[in-house]
Order: sequence, then structure tokens, then C-alpha cells
Amino acid sequence: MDEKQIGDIYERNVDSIYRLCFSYLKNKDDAFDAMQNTFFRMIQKKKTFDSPEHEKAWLIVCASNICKNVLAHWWRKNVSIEENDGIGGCQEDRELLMVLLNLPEKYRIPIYLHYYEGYNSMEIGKMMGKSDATIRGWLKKGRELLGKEIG
Amino acid sequence: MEDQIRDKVARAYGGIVLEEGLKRRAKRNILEKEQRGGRRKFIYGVVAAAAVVIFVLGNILMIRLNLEHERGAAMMETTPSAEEETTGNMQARALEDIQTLAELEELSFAANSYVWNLENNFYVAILCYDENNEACLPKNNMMARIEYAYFLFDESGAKLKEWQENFDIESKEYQSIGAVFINGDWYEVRDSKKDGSEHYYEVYNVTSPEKSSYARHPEDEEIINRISSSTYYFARYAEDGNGYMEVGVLDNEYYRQVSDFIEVNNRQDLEQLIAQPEVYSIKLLNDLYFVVLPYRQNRRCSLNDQADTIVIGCYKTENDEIAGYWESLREAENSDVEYIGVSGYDGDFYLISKVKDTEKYYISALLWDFEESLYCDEGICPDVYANATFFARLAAEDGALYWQIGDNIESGTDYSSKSFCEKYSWDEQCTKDMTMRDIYVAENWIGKKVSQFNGLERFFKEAVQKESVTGDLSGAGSTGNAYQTDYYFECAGFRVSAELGSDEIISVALITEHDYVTENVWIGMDMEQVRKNMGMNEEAYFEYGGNMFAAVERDGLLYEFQFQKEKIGENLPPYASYPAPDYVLTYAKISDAAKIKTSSVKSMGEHLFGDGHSLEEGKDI
Repeated sequence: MDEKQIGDIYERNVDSIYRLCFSYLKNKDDAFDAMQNTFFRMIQKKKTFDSPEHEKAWLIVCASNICKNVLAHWWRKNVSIEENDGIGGCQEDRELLMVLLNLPEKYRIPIYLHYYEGYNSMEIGKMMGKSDATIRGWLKKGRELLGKEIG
Repeated sequence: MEDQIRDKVARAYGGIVLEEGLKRRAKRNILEKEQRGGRRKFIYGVVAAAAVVIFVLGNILMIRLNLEHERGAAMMETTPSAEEETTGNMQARALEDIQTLAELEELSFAANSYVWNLENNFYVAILCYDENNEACLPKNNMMARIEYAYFLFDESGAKLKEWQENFDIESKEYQSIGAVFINGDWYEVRDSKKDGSEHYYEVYNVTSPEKSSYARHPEDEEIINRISSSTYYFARYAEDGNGYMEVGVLDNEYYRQVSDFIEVNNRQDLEQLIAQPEVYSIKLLNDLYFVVLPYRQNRRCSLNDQADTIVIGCYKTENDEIAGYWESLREAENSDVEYIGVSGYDGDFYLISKVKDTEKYYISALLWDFEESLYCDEGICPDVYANATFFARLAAEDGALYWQIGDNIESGTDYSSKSFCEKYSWDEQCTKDMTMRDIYVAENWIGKKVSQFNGLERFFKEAVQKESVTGDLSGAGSTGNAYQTDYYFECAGFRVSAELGSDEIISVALITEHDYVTENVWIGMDMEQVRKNMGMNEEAYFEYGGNMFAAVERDGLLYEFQFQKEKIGENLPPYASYPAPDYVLTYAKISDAAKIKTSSVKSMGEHLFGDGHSLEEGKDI
């Protein structure tokens, strides 16, 4: 992969990967590092892709694994969402985002991948290593929790 | 509702934006890394070559230079660890050198470390090593070795020297076999290194020592201690890749003395055991059986008698012998929980418990996936997720066929307990007073008397007359499993098969010999159009909402079957495999074909979900 290809892949996916990392880590600094590390790993593994869809899915899985490794360090667990200013939007959107980010991880990530990135439950299941039925169940539960907040 | 959530979620996440400056900086870093990787290899290659040349010349000229250090350094730099490139430094500091909280924090950033704050100033640090005693990243499966130590610090962050617990590998009375990280805890398996009847394994929970337990190998005869379900889970990771559990889970002597636990010494005993009432079994592989037995106060009982102990046994058979076995005890966790039912589904056992005096139920997957366990409230579990399909099957009544709920998330269908009953026209039994016990007794439709399914019996027997019965359909799976069939009919390339006993339907399944599903999907098309496309007058199948429907019209009656596509065996350990078809029948109905002949595919799906009605008991078709 040459520099141009790497640059193109980066431009196509940086926003999605950053948002995903933010969903996991809930602060912009850690999300930035994890996002960078995702592309570092892509380079290090000399990864090639069959299609933009394959490319994005691979990056998502890679980013998820990196974020989970980060979360394993207990020091990072204590960061409060309110401490960081990496969030834009109006007050209502920010409040909803706080609700989303406070969902348990197993609901939060499928909600993000489904409602924001547009993946279906089967695709999400493959990325997260879970069955289609499990993901649908998590989406259902996450939606119910969200529905109470949305009203 | 769905669109509303989508819009709001999209707006909320849209607020997470990476600043342009940071975005450019990251891109620069990434591209520089790619360039550095190439340059570094070139430079290090030159250095290595030069070192070799100098070494050779030095030897030739008898010049004794200290090149061991340089060569080693060059080789290290020439072949940087891939893991170091991407995951940070490996731990380079011994645990006993940690003296302060700050040093422990620094250690936590090592790639092979886990550091936990257990409580207040009390910590545990764990370092991971591979079989070569090299520091390595924690893996998802069993680690070769871990080192760990507990630390207590004072308010200033200095280690309290009067208390510390380090582990010297050489002086351990036990031998560490390995370790694994499961559900937030590290478990280390220790071999007692004792002989004979005193030999045992200890499964030590490093991060929550109170969860530690003991086990004996299945080949040992005596039993010493009960093991917890968490140890069973660990034992699964301890298996050696041959599909056989190495660290067993055994009940304790107390139970052996006063209970009538079943002795199984050979295959004949096992088959007699499985044939007994109130014994729940499932055969996963041809020679591996899982058996679940309920006990109450150490005596065999029915689950209807509110068992307080469940024994899960795994038997591996070879010819007529029992080659190995392990057992697991599952006790009601406290006096407020009672066991209600056990059912095998999809290669697993699900244990339903009820919290007394409430309508709260707990469904626990016993064998393969503890993460699928869940709670449900409000009677018939409208909030059940993950295993909603299975739970609905438990909800089948006599004369009715099991159903699915919560199948299509995207449909936005809301299955509250009340609407669930009303929607499917259940009778007055379908109230909040219906206990799980009643539901369990109903179990599922397989095993019910044929007289309750007159229409299907007739249908399948007609099929038998028209088609030859082979008894062993390709794709039906190997011998010995529930999907071995006696009767079948073909529907557009699919075979709907049924195994009929003398007075009961044993099993029904859809068997696919080819992957027609992905090749032929007519969503949103009229049923008539579907039939025309198929070139058939009577039979058709279609996919809707992730399920497969097959419909056959015979003598003015429409027989409809719904199959859920289930990749049985997916996400299971690699040594487990299931000779099962890709589809499982979840619904069957007979109705007047004239009434729904012209329904569209979509409305057909809605009809089946939204206006379905079960067979009337005893109806003679």
C-alpha cells in the first residue's frame, strides 16, 4: 500500500473510527490515540482490502480491540465524560450523547454501529463476534433504555 | 419510533468531531510511520551488513572486537517486535521492585500487565508470560504463565513493607499450569503436586480469591470438593484441543453420602439414565452426551418439585464404555431462588429460575455461553433479549405450536406481556397468573401427541405416499441426532422433514441441500407472483424479515411453515460441532387457503406474526 492509498483509507474512515473509539473510551485524548493506533496497526500488518466495506469493517474491529485493551488498564476507567470538551452540538444533542455514552458497552456499541453507521445486526454480530440473535437482543434492550430517555 | 431514535442518535454522535488540526496531525503521524518503517529497515539492514563485514574482517585479521553486544543490538533493531510497534512496551520491571503507587501506575502501561485496584489502597498486579517465559500480551485463551503480586500502599503512595505478598515461582508448593482471564477475573490453575487420592487442582481466582475452588481430574476416583460454575468455565479453557474437558467438576462427599446420585459405569447405564423421566439430555457429538438431573435435598426429583440443585453431567463414550465424564453442581444461589425448568435448545441447556414471590425469572445458559444468561420480568418476559426465541418456545401451550417473539428488531414490534397474549389469541390461561411451571410443562411441541396435529400428520403421510423415503437425507446430519428424518416433502428445493413416532411427532426440520436462501429472495412480492415465478401451482417459499416461510396448498388447505435460520454451533468453541440443519422449524399452521390466497408477501408475514392463531386442539381436518 503506498502513501496515497493509506491517505485515502484514512480520509474515508477517520471520522467513523474516531467516533467509535470515543464511544468506547469517552474522552477525546484516548480516542485520538486509539484512532491513530488503529491505522498504525493497519500499516504494520500491511493489510489489504477487497472493498471499502471490507476496509471499514476491518478498521472497526481493529479499533474495538484496541479500545478494549485500553479499557483494561484500570487507570483509564476513572475518566469522567464531563471532564472532556470533545463534544459539539446543541445542548439537547449533548445530553443525549451523555445518555448514549453511559449505556453499557454491549448496548452502546451496537446502537452506534446500527443507528449511526447503518450496519445490520448480522454485520454487527460478525464484527463483535456475537450471533445475530444476540445483537438483535442487545439492540432491542439498548433501544428500550434509550427510549425511556428520549421519551 | 425507530426513525426517531435513528435521527436523534445520528445528531448526538454527530457532535463527536475530530478537529481538523488533529485530523491532519494524525494523518501526518500515520504516513510518517509508514515511511519510517521503510527507512528503518533499510538503515538497519545496512548497519547489520556492516557489522557482519567488520566481524568477518575482524576474525580474518584476528582483531578481537566485542561485537556480541552490537550484533545483538543490530539484530534486535532489524527485527522489531510487531507487538512492540503497536502495543507499547512490554513489562521490563520485576514486581518485587515496585515500591510506590506511581511505579505501579507506570507498570500498568506495560502491554503484558493488568493492574487492578481491588479496594482503597490495595492492588493486584498481573504480568503475562508465554511458554518460553517471555513477556507477552494477554490472550483470549489460556496463558502459559502469569506472575502476580498484591500491594498495599499508605496514604503517601509508598508500599507498606510490613505487608506484601509476592510469589516466588520456585518455592511454590504447587505447580502453576496456566491462567486465563474470564469475565473480569484472572484465574490461575494450580496442580497440587500431590500423588494419588490427594491430588487435586486448585483454580485460584487472583482478582477475587473468594471465588477460588478446587477440582479433580476425571480420571481420579475420589472426590474432595465442590466446584463453582466459574471453575467449570475455566475448565473449558483448560481443555487440550481434543474436545475433552481436562479439569473436572465434581460434587462433594456430602452429596455422595446422602443422595441418590446416579452412577453411570457404561453406555448401557447412560442410555437407561437418559430414558428416565425428568432427565434432560442432549447429544452434541456422536459420543458426547450432556445430561441434566434435578435434585431436591439430595434426592432425585422433577423440576416441578422445585429442585434446589441441578447436576450437569458430561459423558464421553467410546463403544460401550464411558471414556470420561465430569459433573457440575448448580445450586440455587440463595433460598429465594427456585429452579423451574430446564430445556435443551440450540446445543445448550437453559435453566430457568424464578425469584420467589416475584415474577422475575432468570434464564441461564448452562453449557456454552454464560453471557447469554439474562433476567426477565413481568410474566412472559417481554423484555427478554438474546434468547427471546427460546423463551417463547417455552411458552407454547398444549395444542399450540411454539412461537417466536422479538424476532425482528427493525419492525419495531412491541411485545408486552398483555399484547403478546392478545396478539396470539391465547385463551384465559394466558394471564399474568400463568407460572413458569405451567409453561415448562407445556415445553415445546416436539413430543406432543399426533392427535393434536391431525393436519400435519395427514400432510406428512401424503408426502410419504408420493415420495420415496430414504430415511437419511443429505444435509440432515449424521446419525444419532434429533434431525434424522422419516418423512419429508419437497418445497422448491427445500425438504421439510418430520420424524413421526407411533403416536407423536418427534421432530420437524427444514433441510437445505443447497443455499437457495441467498439466491432466491422475494421480499415484498405478491404470493401469487411468487408462485408464478417459481413456476409452481402449489408450493412456494419466501424469505421475510430474516425468516424463511414455506407454504404448500393441498386440498384447499394452506400449510404454512416458518423456519428461523439458525447457525447452530456458531460462536461456540471450535471443538464443538453440531450435525444440524441450517433452519429450525418454529411455526406451523393450517388454514383455509382461500382466505389468504391473494395476500402479499409482506402482509403474509404480518399475518403470521400479527394475526396468527394456533391450531385448535383436537380439530379433525
